[in-house]
Amino acid sequence: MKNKTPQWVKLCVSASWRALLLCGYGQAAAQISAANIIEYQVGNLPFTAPADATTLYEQLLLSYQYRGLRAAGRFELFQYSGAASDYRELAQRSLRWENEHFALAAGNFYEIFGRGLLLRTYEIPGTILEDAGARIRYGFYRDLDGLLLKYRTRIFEVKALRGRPLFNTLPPNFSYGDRHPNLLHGVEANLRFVKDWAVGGGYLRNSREGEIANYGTVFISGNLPFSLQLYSEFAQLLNNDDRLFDFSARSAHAFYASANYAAGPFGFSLEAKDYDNFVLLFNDPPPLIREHAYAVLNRSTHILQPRNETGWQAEAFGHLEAGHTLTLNASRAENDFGRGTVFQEYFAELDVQFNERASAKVFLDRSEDPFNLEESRNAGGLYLQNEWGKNWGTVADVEFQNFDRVLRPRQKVENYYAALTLTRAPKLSAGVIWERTTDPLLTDHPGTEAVETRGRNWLAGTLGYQYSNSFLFSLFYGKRRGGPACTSGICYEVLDFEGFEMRITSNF
Amino acid sequence: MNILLITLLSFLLTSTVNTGKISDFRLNDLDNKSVRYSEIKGKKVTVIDFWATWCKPCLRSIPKLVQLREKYQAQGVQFLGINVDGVRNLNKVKPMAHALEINYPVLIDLNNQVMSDLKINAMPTILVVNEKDEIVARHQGYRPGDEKVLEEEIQKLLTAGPPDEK
Repeated sequence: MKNKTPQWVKLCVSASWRALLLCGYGQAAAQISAANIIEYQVGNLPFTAPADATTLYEQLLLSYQYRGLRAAGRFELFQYSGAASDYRELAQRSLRWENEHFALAAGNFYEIFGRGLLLRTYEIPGTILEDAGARIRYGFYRDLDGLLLKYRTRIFEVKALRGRPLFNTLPPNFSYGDRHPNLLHGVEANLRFVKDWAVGGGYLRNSREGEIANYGTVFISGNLPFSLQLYSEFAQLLNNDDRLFDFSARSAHAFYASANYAAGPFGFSLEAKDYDNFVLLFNDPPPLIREHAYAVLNRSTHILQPRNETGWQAEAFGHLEAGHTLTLNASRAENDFGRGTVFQEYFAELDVQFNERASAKVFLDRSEDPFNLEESRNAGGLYLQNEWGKNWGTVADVEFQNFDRVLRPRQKVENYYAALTLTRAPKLSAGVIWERTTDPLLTDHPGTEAVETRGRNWLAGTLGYQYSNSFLFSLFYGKRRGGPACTSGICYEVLDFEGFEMRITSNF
Repeated sequence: MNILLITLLSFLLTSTVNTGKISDFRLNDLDNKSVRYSEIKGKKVTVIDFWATWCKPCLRSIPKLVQLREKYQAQGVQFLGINVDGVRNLNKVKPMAHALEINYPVLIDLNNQVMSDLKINAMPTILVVNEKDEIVARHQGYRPGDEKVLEEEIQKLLTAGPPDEK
């Protein structure tokens, strides 16, 4: 492990931890808490030897809190029976102090400017990233390593930071410098200048390998009568001679605007975006494509191309009589990289409440995704939930998707997903998941010369048992289909897996 | 070996201690107004629901929480939704909260700071908190029927009285 954390940060955090542990342990108001995830796998990626490789990943989060002072650490450990990609590290350590108006953080922290066009760090709890090349697993977060200072009142907030964002595409066996190539200095302020209106602005300087880029951002939000809410944000690279608020394709800029409206049982959301030359490599701005929970749709998401993308998203909800809910969504993203492509998606979902104990959701989706060479993509599905007995329940989820891949020859692809879960609240759940595809990119066995085109299946069983309020066991056995996945607006790649997996989650 | 020790330790601890305490935090509500937890928590019990618009089990559980809130509001029980959608779905949170007829405060944890501090690692996670801000129950995920267990825990706290009197 090649950790090159700045020495001053190490000293500061280490000394603070020791002082806290020695002096604060006896304080009645002090609290030490922890959360731990252990995941053990026996198995491997498909078509990969040995089939019974073992991996062990552990993530331990420890925190100490005394009044407004909080010290926290994240320890991560990975062991693999195959290649030498093991690591064991103190992945995060932080010290934070806050009172009514001030907040100060040193070490690893999360922060956002506006709605994240320029800067948004995040953590996706419970998700483990996996790097196929080195076969290494690690926690999923992008934090900043440095210093943060905030001052806030009910109507005004200002924050200043200096830190290195984690480049989490690279796994922990890369050096600290490789994983933290950018150094950010930034300041942001926002003010609620009248009752329902707020404005803000910020400046961010990025230093990377001797090159400096300066960015500015402004945003405004307002609550109008009749439950109408507006928000708009603009960010631009300030390094060149372009005029401010330059929306042309020459400038490096990002624009986001949104409106939402709620009227009784109905709700509406409208968003627009315009990105040009805005590849920051330390941020994931919002893509404005619906994030689906359905398996076949979540996998088919559009990934934002901040080098060149414009588009919009509209969504409407209706909470109808007797508890039924209707959701309609349309989105569009245009890219122009020599040849123009237009992503379009139309989604409808009806949630029907039969009675207190039984409900169903049905969805239909139609999309065009020329950027990924997928045309005429159709999907539909049914999600049934039923309660019976005192605490028993069943959930059935059936989904189908087909599309044409625009290659020569044209490929017809079909995807199937079915899951049946039996639950006994609050302790137990057990389920079976089956997936099938006719996608030639997935049916072909890479180890043979022939091109296999027969459909490929994934079948797995799951078991979840909550031993207590703070102890949860999860078991998985079988084959898991990988592919793109999105959680909390962040998209990543899940690898296929065949074998046995056990996860123990605990909080104490 | 350290893995085994930690596992064993956590196993033993779970039967003897609660699962943490809520430290006062400040987040914006659906109208972008800054709100402190201490200002809106329940007099006797607070139920905190971490949810997201993309999370199917979350949307299943919310109508049950709305019903429980109606039933126990007068007895000093407050429900609090903390949305963790992040920026991707933020614009949909308020209209969806309206459509779902959520009748309790919803706060926005835009960069997941509160979620991280409370070590939430599954959606939804529902915390039951007593009047001393101690987390007495933690529900991960939602299974049909979980709301009955939640109601039992609320009733237990209401009948037990303040923690000091136990």
